[in-house]
Amino acid sequence: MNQVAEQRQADLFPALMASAAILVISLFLRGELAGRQYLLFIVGVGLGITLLHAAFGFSGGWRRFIRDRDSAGVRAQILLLAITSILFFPLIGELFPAIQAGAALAPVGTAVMVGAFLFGIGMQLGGGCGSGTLYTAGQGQVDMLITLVFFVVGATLGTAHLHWWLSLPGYDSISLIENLGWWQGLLMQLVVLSLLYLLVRRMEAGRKGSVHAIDWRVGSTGFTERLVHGPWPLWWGVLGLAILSLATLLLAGYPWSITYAFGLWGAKIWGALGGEPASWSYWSSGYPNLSLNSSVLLDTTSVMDFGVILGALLAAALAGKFAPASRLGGKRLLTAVTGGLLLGYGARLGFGCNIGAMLGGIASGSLHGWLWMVAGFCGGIAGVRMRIWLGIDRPLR
Amino acid sequence: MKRKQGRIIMGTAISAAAIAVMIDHTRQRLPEGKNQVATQAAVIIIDEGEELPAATTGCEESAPKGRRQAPCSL
Repeated sequence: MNQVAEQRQADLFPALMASAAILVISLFLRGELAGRQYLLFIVGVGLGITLLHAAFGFSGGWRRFIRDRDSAGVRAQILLLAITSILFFPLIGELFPAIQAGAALAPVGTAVMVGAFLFGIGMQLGGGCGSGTLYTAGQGQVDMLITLVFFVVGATLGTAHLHWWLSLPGYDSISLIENLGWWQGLLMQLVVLSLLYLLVRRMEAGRKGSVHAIDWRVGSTGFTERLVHGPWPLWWGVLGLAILSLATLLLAGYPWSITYAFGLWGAKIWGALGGEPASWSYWSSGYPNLSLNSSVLLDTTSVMDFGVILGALLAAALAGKFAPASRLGGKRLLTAVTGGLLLGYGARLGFGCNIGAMLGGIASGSLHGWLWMVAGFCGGIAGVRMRIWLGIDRPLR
Repeated sequence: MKRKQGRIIMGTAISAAAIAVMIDHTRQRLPEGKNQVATQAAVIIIDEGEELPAATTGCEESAPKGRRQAPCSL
């Protein structure tokens, strides 16, 4: 009880600063830029609040399952994939022709496999995934801020090398919706997700004799109190992320993504330092070239990322969790730097992170999302072993 | 690391990021007219061999025909 009461001590100064920043940026985007940028920024704020209050992390969920067979986090992710698929498939399959909704399609090849594997290792070493790094950095965790900086460096390096990786064997994008039809594809996907859900549940029951439930209850704390100050039950996180992913699809016309912006920020910084990223193949044409030569505020992914960081900052302040005390030793510095580089480089090769490639890809029927999930999880297993080898975690029993 | 140090680092990082965004925004030319805001939808949702879906974004001249040539936006 004391812990809950302590968490509800809102940190007023950062809460006010975050609220003011969110208001000013929203008004600025609305006044300065046309279209839906300000709405997408607000959706980003909502995503940041949801991620922070529900403590919805992909890397922690995978690690707990790999180490201890605690499958609650993994099952929550599977539920998120299933609900988002149910919401996305009919829209992308043009059940409602008036709604423009595109899939997160990408090639199914070596680049995705290697990229997701590296990303999986980076998740465990760096301490967060794409969304996790953003919201924990917004929370004021200094080690995650370092991970984020090197995430940007890695993503920028990835854009320099991507053309070579794409020359390796692979197939073009494969869409379940285009190949099977939206409802047939959805049905098949739901069957596979159900089997996965049952498998991880069974593995947990086999190891521990019982299954850790995915929490949905408000408990003794009032609903409003819990909504504002957190912490949220995991189910709220699943529903919140699914609804806000749908909002992103409807407003932007494509699924939520995070890491494209990191490469863009890195390329812009490199350009400001005298480099010539525009001469790299990746930045020389199409949307990357356009975004490199435009204001960062015109890039939807960047604007949403800013929203996630500020939303997490606000939520952390309201929960009294902003800038927690931490130990930042040499080992943690090393893993933050290495993990960040692997996350960034892997995300670029893998056509996104756990959000853009895995959630967005799978929920919109792209086969690369499934390949990303398998390769990323294998990388996660390697990352968990590395954490043990580095003495960060105790050995497996 | 103490909480106060973390707050100072965070405050500095956010301030630096805000300044960088402002510099970038003022350095880059905004598209003329409010309706010409570049949206990723123009480029992200393309499949091999398909034409760009939006013709008003200014992307169509230089944009590749497929993600393999210029993978982006995820």
